[in-house]
Formats: sequence, structure tokens, C-alpha cells
Amino acid sequence: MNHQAEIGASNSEHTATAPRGSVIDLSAVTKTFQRFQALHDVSVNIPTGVTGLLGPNGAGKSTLIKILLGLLKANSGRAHVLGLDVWQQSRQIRQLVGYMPEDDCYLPTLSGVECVQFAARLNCLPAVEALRRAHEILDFCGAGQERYRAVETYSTGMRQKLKFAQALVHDPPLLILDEPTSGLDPDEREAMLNRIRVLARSHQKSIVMCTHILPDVQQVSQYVVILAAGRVSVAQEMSELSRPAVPALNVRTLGSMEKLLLAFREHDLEAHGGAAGTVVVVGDSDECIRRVWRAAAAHDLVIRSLTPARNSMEAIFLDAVRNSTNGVTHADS
Amino acid sequence: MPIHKSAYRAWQGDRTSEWTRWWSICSTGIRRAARSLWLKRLMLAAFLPLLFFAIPFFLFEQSSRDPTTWRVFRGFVRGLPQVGMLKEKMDVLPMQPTAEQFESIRHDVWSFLLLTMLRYPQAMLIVLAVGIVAPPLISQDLRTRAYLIYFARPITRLEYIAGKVGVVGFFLLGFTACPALLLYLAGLLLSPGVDVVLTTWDLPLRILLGSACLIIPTTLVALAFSSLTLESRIAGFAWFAMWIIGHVTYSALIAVPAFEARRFQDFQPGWRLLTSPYQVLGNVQSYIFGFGENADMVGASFLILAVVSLASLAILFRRVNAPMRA
Repeated sequence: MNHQAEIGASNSEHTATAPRGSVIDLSAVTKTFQRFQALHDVSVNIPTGVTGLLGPNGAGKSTLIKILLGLLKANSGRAHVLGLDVWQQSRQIRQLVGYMPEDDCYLPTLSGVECVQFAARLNCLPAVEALRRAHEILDFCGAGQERYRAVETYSTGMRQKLKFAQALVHDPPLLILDEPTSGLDPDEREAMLNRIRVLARSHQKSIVMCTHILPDVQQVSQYVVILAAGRVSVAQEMSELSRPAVPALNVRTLGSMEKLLLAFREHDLEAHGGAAGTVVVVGDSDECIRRVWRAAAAHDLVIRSLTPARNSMEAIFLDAVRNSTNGVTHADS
Repeated sequence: MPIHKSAYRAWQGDRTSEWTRWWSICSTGIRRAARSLWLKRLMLAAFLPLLFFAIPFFLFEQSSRDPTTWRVFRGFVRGLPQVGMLKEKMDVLPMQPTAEQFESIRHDVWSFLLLTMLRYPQAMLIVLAVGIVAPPLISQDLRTRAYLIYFARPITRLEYIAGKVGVVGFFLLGFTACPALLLYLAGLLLSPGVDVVLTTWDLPLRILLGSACLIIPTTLVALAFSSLTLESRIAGFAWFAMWIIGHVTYSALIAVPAFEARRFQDFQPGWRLLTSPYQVLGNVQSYIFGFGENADMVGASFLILAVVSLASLAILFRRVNAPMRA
């Protein structure tokens, strides 16, 4: 199917983009619930493209989303979404944003297609057009005949698709997806990430993806914002974040890792053992790569993969959270 | 080119007016509520009293041509509750009234019959219908977190509440105004000439006004109950309890023996009806149809309905957005 072909074509790794315009602009936003400070002086610009919004539980992600949708009022600060003021133009913002909530939300007794049609009608699509569009979006989301079943009988995966379809049905330029892949099996998860890629690349949608599944963020995001304890801990391009402090190459071999290490050292390459049978070679220049191939050929070793080393999302996330927690502790003390 | 392309396509089209959003909520709510089998049965039952009350209409209109049916009509009407409101006017007529005498009481007779239908069978059905339709309307949205579907879109609280009120209002119109207007139409068809419209033209307006006085407070109270809980059965229980407790209190107060009356000397008899929502609504409807049974209490009854409606509206406004603020 064309749709699958389109998804398949977009499956390759994303590339870092040039500096882009911002879709969300927050400046010194603070939100307090009685004694609990949910957001503390949050200032961040989220560019177009796919942005991963990360943070441990209670970091303030949901509060931030509600503020962006104009459902909560911040105590202070300034916020713009798609150039519209959150405090004064929240209805226009909600018209232009598709929000997929993390919570299971549905209208019992309605079928899947009726739910999506209803979401479209709430965004002022005419009734018949809303039904046509609902079918179109459910096709895109890979929903089959189950669209005619009552939503309360749906599996978790099907409900995720339904929420995604409801968020997308009115063709918004900005999507805010809260845990879009949670509860999905590996195939469905991959399909969901592909849909996100397709929307971002082929249809120029800006997407803010709020998730705890870090590999998902690394796979599709171009920009990452990490919130910790109500503060922005990291806000950076994924390509920058992934780049290790010292450039390096990850090399995998079909043969012995020890032999490979020995071969590299004989060819004056600085190398050490990495995780999961990987050899890490310091440096990523063309000369370095040539020497890697030469060393392997000289020792009759087969190289299975040779990729530039990237920081893992887990490491980035843990560092950001740890630093932020320390910051708070220091400030408090 | 494939016949069916399932890739994503951008949407460009004309949107409907923002004012249609409440109607989207309302029409979807009506569709969902109409799936209840019990509600369908009740809707059917709502039109049965129409057949019953068409009989006195027929007998009355027939009396002007055949005086013998006047006695049958009087006998029939005597069996109806609160016939005292009409008795005085019927008693002044001779056993065989003239056409002019019939003309003089037609308006009162029609008003009485319409009021009786609205106050007794229809009012009972309304209590049951609202008990089925209203309780899940908001509580279910809170339980299934469907409020996120509404409020993550450009829906205001007012549009949401208007949509929900519209759902209950739609069904209540089917229980009140529709059968009553059909009965009025039946009366016109049974009457000797079209000029009857000239003397009864105000009755459709009274029907609509009486229905509005019934629909607005009952709908708002029922929705306020629904918004206060996540369990629709609790909201339903509160709804029925309100009517039952009110009626039992009223019945107990009017049953106080005469020798106990001294203890309640400051408690005027008319005030007793204010303890029962059913009696308050009935008193207002009687006034609208031109019967001043408890005329001194009409102002207080209207005031109670207004206060209850406003308080319910305030609760609704506060509650429907509460989950989003959490």
C-alpha cells in the first residue's frame, strides 16, 4: 500500500536540520499549586519538527502541556504557541493543536469512527465531511473493521490509535502527543513512530512527543527538552546531544572482540571495549576510518558494523535529572 | 493511481460556524442516549396520555352539536384530579348549554385538560426520563476522562453545558410540549370551525412557556447532580430521592391533623407546597395556564425555581472544568 511505502521510505535515520523557527516559546513560566511548585521559571523555545519532551514523573510535563493548551493559567511568565498568546488566544491555539492525552479517554457506546467524527465536529468540520475524514485518518492509523466496534471494547493498542486519530483528524499544524507509544506491541510501536516521522517530514507537522520511552525519542526527535523538578534541564538539538564529548566510532566484528582490539592497537588506534561486544575507537576522522579497515584486513577480521558513537538517551536523561536534582539541593541548602 | 490511498492527506475545507459546537455535543449526546431501550419505551409511553386526553376533547366539542354528550363529558372530567379548578365554571352552565355558552368556557376547558396532562402523566414520565438521560451525561465524561476530548479542543464551558442541557431538553420537549401541542391540534381538528383558533391562540404559547418552566430547572438540577459524582447511579439516586423526599414531606405536612395546626400557626398552608419540587412546578404551570389555585405562592414558586436553576448552573460551571485544573 502506498501508505506503507511512504512509511517505509521514511524509516531511515533522521538528519539534523538547520536552525528552524519556533512553534512554542516560553519565557519565565511559573506555576504553583498551593505549596507545590510544578514549574519554576521555565524558559524554552521549541522549534518546528519533532521534539521529545522528557522528564521523570512529577517533573511538570503534564502541567506544561495544560498551560500550552490554555487549560491552566500560569502564575507568571509569557507563553506563545504558534505565535499565539496562551493567555489570550487559547481557543485559537486549541483549534490549531491536536492533543493526544496519555489518559484513557473515550465516549462509551460510540464506535471508533463515531468518536473520531465527533472530535472532527468539535473542531467545526461539517458532519458528513467529518465522517469521511474520520475514515481517512483511521485508514492512516491502520485501524480496520474494528472501527465499527464500541470503543469500550477496544484493546490498549487500539485506543492509542483512536486517540492519535482524534488528535489528527482536523489536520492541525502542531501535535502534542502524550505517551503515544505506551501500551503498544513492538510492531505497532514502530508503526506509530513511522506515522510521526511521516507527518513531520512529508506534511511539515510540528510534533511535541512527551514520553518515558527514551529510545522512541532518540529514534524520531530532532530536538529534546528535559524537564526535571519543574525546571528545564536540557533543551538542545538531538544531534548535539547525541554527539559524545570525544568523537569515537563503534565497531562490531563477527570474530573475536579481543583480536580486534589487539589489531587496532597494533595500528596505533586508541580503542577499548564497549557495551554489548562493541569496540570503541577514539576519533572519527577519515584517516581513522581507513586505519580501522586496514587493521581489520591485516588480521583477517570481518567488520559487521562501523557507526559513529552516540551518547545514549538513557545516559543523557539520567545526567540531566541528576544535575537538576543536585541544583535544587544546592539551591535549597 | 490507487483507488484508495490510505496515506495521510492534508485537509482543506470550509469549517462550520463556531456556534455549531454546542450542537455537535448535543446531537452526539442525543444519539447516545437514544440507544437506551428504556428511554425508547418511555418515549412511546409519552404519547399514550395523548390518546386518553383526546377523549374529553372529543366529548366537549361533540357536546355543542349533541347536548347528551355534555353529561358524559362532565362525568369524565369529574374523574380527573384537581377538577375543582374547573368545577365552578362548569356548574354555572345549564344541563343543555347553548353554543355561545360552550364558546365561553372552551378556553378554560382546553387549558384545564392540557394542564392536567402536563401535570400528571407527563410529569411522572419526565421524572423517569430525566432519571435515565441526565445522570450519565457529565458523570460518565468525568469517569472515562472524556472531558479531555472536549476541553483539549476549542470548547468553552458554556458550549459544553449548553450541549448537555440540549440533550435533556430535547427529550423533555418530546415528553411535554410535543404531546401537548399535538393534543391542541387534535382539539382544533375536533372543533366545529377554524375560528376556534381565535379564542385559543394563546394555548400553544402557554404550552411552550409551561414546558420551559419545567425543562430548565429540572435539566439543570439533574445535570448538577451528574457533575458532582463519577458514578451515574449515585446521580440517578439523588435525582429520584429529591422527588420522593419532597413529595413525602409535602404529603406529611398536609396530613397534619387540625389540632396540631396551632403548632404550625406561623406556617401558612400555602408554604407547604414549597417543600415539594413537584408541587412547585405544578403551581407555576397552573399559573401559566390561567388557574390561580395557590396564587399567593406563585411568586415564591418562581423564585425557588430561579434560585435552584442559578445554583445548579453555578455548580455546573464550577464542576465541569475542575478536572482540568487539577
